Amino acid sequence: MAATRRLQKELNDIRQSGLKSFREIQVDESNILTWQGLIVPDNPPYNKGAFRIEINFPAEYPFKPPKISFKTKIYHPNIDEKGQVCLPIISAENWKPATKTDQVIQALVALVNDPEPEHPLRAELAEEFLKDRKKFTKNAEEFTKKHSEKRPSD
Amino acid sequence: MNSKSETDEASRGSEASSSNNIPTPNNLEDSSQPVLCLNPVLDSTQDIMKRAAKQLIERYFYQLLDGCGNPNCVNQHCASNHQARQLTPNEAAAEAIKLAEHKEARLCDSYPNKVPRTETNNCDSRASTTCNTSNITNKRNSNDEKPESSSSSIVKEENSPKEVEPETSQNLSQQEDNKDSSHNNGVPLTEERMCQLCDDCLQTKVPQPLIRALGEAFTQPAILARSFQSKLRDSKTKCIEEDKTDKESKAMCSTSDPDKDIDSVTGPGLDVASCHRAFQYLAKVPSDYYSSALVTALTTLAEHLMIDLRINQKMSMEDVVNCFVIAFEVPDLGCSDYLEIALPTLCLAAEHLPVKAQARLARVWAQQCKESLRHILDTLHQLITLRIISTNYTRHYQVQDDESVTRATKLMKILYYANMLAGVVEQNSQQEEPIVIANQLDPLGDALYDFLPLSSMKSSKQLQPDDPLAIELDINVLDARKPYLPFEEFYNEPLSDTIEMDIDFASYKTDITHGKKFAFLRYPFILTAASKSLGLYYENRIRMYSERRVSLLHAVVGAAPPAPFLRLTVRRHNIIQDALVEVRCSTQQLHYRTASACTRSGACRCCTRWWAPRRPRPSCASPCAATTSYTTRSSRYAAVRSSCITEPHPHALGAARVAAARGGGRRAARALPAPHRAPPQHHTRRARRGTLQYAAAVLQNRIRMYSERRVSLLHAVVGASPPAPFLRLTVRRHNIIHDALVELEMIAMERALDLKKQLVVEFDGEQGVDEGGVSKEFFQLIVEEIFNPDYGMFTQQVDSHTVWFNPTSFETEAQFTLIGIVLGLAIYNNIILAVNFPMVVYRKLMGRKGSFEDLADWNPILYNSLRDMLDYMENDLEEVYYQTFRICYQDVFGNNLFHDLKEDGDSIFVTQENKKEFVDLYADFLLNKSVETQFKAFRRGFMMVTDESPLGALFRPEEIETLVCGSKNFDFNELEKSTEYDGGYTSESQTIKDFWSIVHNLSLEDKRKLLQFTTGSDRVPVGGLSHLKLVIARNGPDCDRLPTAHTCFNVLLLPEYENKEKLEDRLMKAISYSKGFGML
Repeated sequence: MAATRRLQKELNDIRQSGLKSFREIQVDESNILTWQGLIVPDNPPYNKGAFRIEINFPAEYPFKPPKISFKTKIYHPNIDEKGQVCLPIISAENWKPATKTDQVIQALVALVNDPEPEHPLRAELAEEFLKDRKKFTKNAEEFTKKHSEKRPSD
Repeated sequence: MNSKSETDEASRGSEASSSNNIPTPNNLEDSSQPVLCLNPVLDSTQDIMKRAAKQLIERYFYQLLDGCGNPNCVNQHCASNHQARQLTPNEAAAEAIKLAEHKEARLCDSYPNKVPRTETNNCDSRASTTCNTSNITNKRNSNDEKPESSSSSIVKEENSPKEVEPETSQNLSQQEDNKDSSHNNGVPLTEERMCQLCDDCLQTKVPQPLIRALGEAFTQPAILARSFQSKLRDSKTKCIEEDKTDKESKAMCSTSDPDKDIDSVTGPGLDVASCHRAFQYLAKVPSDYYSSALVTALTTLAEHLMIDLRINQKMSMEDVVNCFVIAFEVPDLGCSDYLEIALPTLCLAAEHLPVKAQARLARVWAQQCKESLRHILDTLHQLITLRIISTNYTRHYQVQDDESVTRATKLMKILYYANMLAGVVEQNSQQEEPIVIANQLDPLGDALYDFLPLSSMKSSKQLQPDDPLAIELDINVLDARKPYLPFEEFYNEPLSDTIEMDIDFASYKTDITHGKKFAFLRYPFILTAASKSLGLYYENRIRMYSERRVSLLHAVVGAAPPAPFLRLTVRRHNIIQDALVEVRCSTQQLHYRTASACTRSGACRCCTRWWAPRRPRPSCASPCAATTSYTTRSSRYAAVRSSCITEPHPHALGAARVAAARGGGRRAARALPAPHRAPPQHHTRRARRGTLQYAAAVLQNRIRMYSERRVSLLHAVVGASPPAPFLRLTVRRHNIIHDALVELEMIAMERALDLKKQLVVEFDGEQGVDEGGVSKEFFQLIVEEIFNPDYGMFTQQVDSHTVWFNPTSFETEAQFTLIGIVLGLAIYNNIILAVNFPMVVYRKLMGRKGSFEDLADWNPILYNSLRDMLDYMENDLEEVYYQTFRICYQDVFGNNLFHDLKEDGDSIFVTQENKKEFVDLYADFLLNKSVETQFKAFRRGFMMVTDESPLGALFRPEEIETLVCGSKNFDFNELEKSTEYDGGYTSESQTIKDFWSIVHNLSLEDKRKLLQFTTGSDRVPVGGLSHLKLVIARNGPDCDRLPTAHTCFNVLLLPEYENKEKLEDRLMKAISYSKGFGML
């Protein structure tokens, strides 16, 4: 398993480093190209729950960027209803093969913590976020309570 | 006086050309032929010979009487030689005639020199001339019938620039003799000197010193070649310069060539940047001060260079090239006078450059003056465009005959190569293996070719020879990854529009044997893809007609289709068939046997092949037993058929029966059992449904072909009609790929040459007559299906929206060959396909393997990532990338597959040292290795149709793409402008106005549909929609009928509907629900 040699290494590194914001990493032994994990944001309104994501690595990794999707519903201007997320670091134009997955995850966590309403995937949420922060926070909190997973206890 | 040793021939040559002021066409012809020019007298008319003789005698006379003016002259027949006896005029005349008769005495070379004589500096230069050669000139003018003084050069200036008048007889002594302060004294121009002269000129407002300096530098190639030396060389040059003067002061080297001594040193020392700066500085001086002088100087320079190149050849190649480089640095070259007078002469001179010098010029341009390339190119374009716009060309005076244009084109070729060299050129690109298409053995055809001057097609098999300049430079356009200027800038549209392609094509073709006529097709870079495709169209049409004539001849001669089955069985070792048969064997468990393979006279391998169900047959003895082989095959067919019918396919069977019956092959038809009666004898489990149908159809088609062949044989014997003058395909709409592939396969296997006949497509059960439209739709439909990812032969590249060969395709090689044939046929029959191949496919078709640079277009993300890695310079590359030489890829089903780029690739890590190798191997794998079998088969198919066409010589890969796919923009305004009206409509008709206002408001998709409806293709032809030649014809008064179209001729038939709403309604209905042909 060669192209996955690097993935294996990255996986081991991430597991060893024990990221607080990315836990419960599950990888199917037969297919190391798909990872699942739990994003644990620190900032309100998302700090009430955890969000499961899936990272799909292409066969050509690291020469093509991985794709990330949310398995847990989230009320967020940069993540659409289907769970697709627009993360500049893994966009086709910006992708650098030297980028490590933990950098990608950190960028993702940062985005979840601090939405970027300038580049929204859900324009109505972005508008709400900008115009009526209170309402947005309230909605997001309710949504998180309703849909998100339990935060790991530690 | 600098008297050079020179052959009599040469001097007579120059005499001859100078003797007639107005060049006859004959004379011009001479001047364009450097080889002939060594002895132009032979080719000239009687009159010219007389004049030449007269001139020669005169020259001897003056030489004997007055000398050449060089005090150091050692010529015993020259008065300047101190040892020579002084002669009386009478004695001298007698002697001169004698010498001229024997032609053995040496003529002192009068150093070709001409000081510009224009309005502004006329007196000046005359003064200097008189000061140099006053005694000689004066005497001469008094004796000479033909005045050769300044008056003639003024006349010359007013004449056309083509005129060549080397004033060799005008003698000018060496610069040492006149230490006039205003002269260069033979010192070359330098940047500093130029600046100083310009400053002086600006301050004093007296242009004379500047003019004089420019004039002197530019009129004497030897001086100009040494101008603008780079600093390093300067000191050396000076030393040598001093050396030279020393030597000359010793009165020793009058016959030796002083230029030669320093050539090797000064040649490469040209500092183009300095030259460029100097000219920029010159531009600060108002141009009317010096421009006319410079024009004259440049013209003279060009003339001298040409004389030197044609006759003397005493200047070194480096010097000549330097002169050209400097001359083309002149910034105003594109301005009026330069353009009309100086530039054509320069082009003429450049025409005489030997290939090596052209190559050198290209290299110098590429290396040292990239910045000027655009300027030079623009200037040449301007010259060509000016000529074309200001000249009325007729069928008898073609643009090919306009030498100003052709010369500029020739010079542009050098520029074209320089442009490639200046850009990114890929080194050591790998070539695709050449594919040799084994042509069918056709003894009768060969015999016919031998006996009849049937057509030039045979000779066209010898491909266009490569351009010698390209060979010298060792460059191929396919390797030019990124030219300095985009290739499109070389297109000259006025030229492309003016050119009569048929005539150009004719000259292009005769070119091979005679090498005389100028054809722009040999300079394909200047023509737009649209005009070139017209050239290709002629080529293809001519071939089609020739194929047709061959069939006709076959028929008329009567011996014709040499016994159909013999033609099938007697063939050269045939790769195509081998591949097809092998593959079919493995997938269909049908045994084929080589019945016999023996060598017949003529060293061709003959093998008889047929299909046998399961049970192997013993070998048949000889191909001569053709008749028996036919009957056995025919009888065996029933068995084969029944083995194949396990999966019934009534359509195919029915069609084959009908076809067989229709074709007249009654026996074959009888051999077919009724479709439903035949009990299955074998049960085979097929992984993929359809293979058996395929096999059945192959066999049925084969039977049909046999019967058709017999019919054509009969026809031929009776002498009735030619056997199949067209490549006729009959397909059923619902089964289009299947039918097409089977038919094409049969043809490819058995009558590969037929692929070059004109294509005629019939849809089974439809009445449409194929004048082009039906085949258009046929290709459209077939491409739609083949490139459907579900079909499994090609995959969609998500990132680049292109299609690529499926490396894990289950399809046989034969299938890919057929796709190649389809693509080739589309080009051959001038049909646009909606395929979206990445550029690398076309490059590969042209014979270059894909390499890393091709990934940029193939998969930009991958390319950028790999480039990132190449640019990564840190030492921790190994740890960061953690990449080995094993790579992973995915097949269409999403399975991950691994490939070792090197042996044991999993344990070799990519490091700074081997990363380039990794990238190259990776690209090689993706673009070449992984699809090798598929692409090879594909290319073979493509080559079967296009192997003899000049496609590769005329088109670059990106132009071939345009040829195949059409250009990609929809400009309906352009279409409206070019649309013609018929049947009572004009552009002012209300219906037409409504029509366009509706059309312009259509969505892109609907516009596409409209195009599809009216032209049978939704692609834009090469050159844009204006090349579509749409005709809208009135189809009766208002009624309820829908609009209809003749796709063959791009005619839209539009009833004159009563209002816009109705028109829109009918139009939308028509374009939305259209598919199928019918007769109206």
